[in-house]
Amino acid sequence: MNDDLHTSLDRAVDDAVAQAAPPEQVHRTVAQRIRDVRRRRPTLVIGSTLGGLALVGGTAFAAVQLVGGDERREVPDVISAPRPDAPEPSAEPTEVPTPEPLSLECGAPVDDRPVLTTPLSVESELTASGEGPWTINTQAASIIPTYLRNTTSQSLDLTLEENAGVHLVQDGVVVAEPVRGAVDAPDVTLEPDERQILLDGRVVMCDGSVDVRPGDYQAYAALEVTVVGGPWAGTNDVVGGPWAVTVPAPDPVVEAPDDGAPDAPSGGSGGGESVDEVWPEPVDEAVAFQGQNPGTTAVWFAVIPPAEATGGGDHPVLEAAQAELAALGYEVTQTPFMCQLSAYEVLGVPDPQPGEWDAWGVALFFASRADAERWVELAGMNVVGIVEGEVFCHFD
Amino acid sequence: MEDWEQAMGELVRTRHRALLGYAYLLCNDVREAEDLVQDALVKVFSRRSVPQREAGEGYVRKAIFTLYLDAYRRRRRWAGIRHLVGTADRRESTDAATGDLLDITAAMQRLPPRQRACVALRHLDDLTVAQVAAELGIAEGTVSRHLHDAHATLRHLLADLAPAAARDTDHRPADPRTTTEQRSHQ
Repeated sequence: MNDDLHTSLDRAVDDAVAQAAPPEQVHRTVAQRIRDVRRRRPTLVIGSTLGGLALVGGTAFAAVQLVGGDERREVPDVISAPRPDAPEPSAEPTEVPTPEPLSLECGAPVDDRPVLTTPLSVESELTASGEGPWTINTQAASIIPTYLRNTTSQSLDLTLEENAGVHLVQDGVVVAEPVRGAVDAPDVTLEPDERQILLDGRVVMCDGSVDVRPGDYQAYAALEVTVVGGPWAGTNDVVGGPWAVTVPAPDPVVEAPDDGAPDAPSGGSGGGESVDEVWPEPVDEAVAFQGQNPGTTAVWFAVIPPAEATGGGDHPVLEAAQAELAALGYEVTQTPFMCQLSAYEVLGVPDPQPGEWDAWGVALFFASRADAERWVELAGMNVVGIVEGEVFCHFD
Repeated sequence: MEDWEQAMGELVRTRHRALLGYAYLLCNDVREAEDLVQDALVKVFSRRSVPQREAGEGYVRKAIFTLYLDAYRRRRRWAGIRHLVGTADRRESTDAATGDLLDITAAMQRLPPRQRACVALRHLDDLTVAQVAAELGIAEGTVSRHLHDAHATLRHLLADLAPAAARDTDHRPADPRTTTEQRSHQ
């Protein structure tokens, strides 16, 4: 093949276009879908927790007001989630204050009223690491690591109608909204207090800017969920937040650690002459696997190729590497190469053949290549390789 | 006709091939590419505010990449645990194609998604590195790095790629490896 890359790609696209629907048909189909979406544009109700609301009919768990282009459909005034231990719902409607609808649409004001937490809450793993504010990467696959939690004492059957979308609020106004992805939404059953990890879509500024501007924001995550059957049956928006977040300036320059770098690892020293050096701190595996940082770099200490792999666990080579790192104070698990696909090519590991397990290895993950290289230099350990590339994995 | 429909219609009429091509080079499947483009158009033009003409295509491209990445991650999420049942399947489905087309599309699938996006925008749509960076919301240096790594992979998989790699003259020349490798292929 003697074509240059542009010509080759052009020809591939020509072939695809020839097989695809013509633009006129695309226009008609998309226009109809957009009309349908605009007709049922939802607003979100954020009300107080269960205490102040009463029960009506026992069927829905939150009030939702639909605001379309020129139409507004009123829904029952009084809706709430029934208490887990509440008596059977009364057939008589009861007058109670109507929670005012709150819109997370672009430009809409947002106040500080608490989000509804029953029967489902959207929570974030950010809070496990302290008070915030937290620095987020709006280019990451998961901007805000969130999960859906069943806050009732009953099992809930759910269908996720859309993925969690991140809304950013600044000075009390929604300034960025999500570009939602197609929902790969299996039906989910959550037991009491069980969690469902959520994926969120990209967030874009409301004013037309492609990039989210650096600054401080209040972040909300919202998604539409259908509860199937039971006292909370219905389709509604579930909102989590707010979380104080900071979007940093773009183009982080990869630098060697400076005086502000983290202290030496708690687990001990590496090479003798590096005892007093400041060691780059590895990223926790659970955080690295979330795929939030495109610059994540893995240092691979041991690798089992597919032909020798046993599906993880019990391989002496991997266990030995884990023990060596444990002696330095690093507790690491064994990681399949599926969690960092680029590792195959960079490390020269062959692809698995049919019937073979994927390659497995033991790795430490760092926020940048510079950190990884510096760590290896200080540790003075033999490593299989350093791989900078997308890291993402999820283990159920 | 409402503003959104007019803007969307013009975009589809004038840029459908470019958008479909971009989506196709990401996913290597015509049907999936069509879905990506349509879903992206719906997402962008369903918003309350209609994007300005110049920004509209950028929004749709970004939505295409986002939607693809979301689906890609879900496939990998399954693939990330599928090894537990001994199924080794890293190859995504490819359209039936022959000869050169199979070479380039198969080779593109060996690239991580961001590298694929950079190659598609740079070499199919002839965007500059700065424009690619703006489209994807990443730094120019990161784009240069993605292109460098992608070229290295494609060069390994395909023949006669040096003339195309040498067209990247507007990225930062700071990486000595790039210069060295280009010289070695001349």
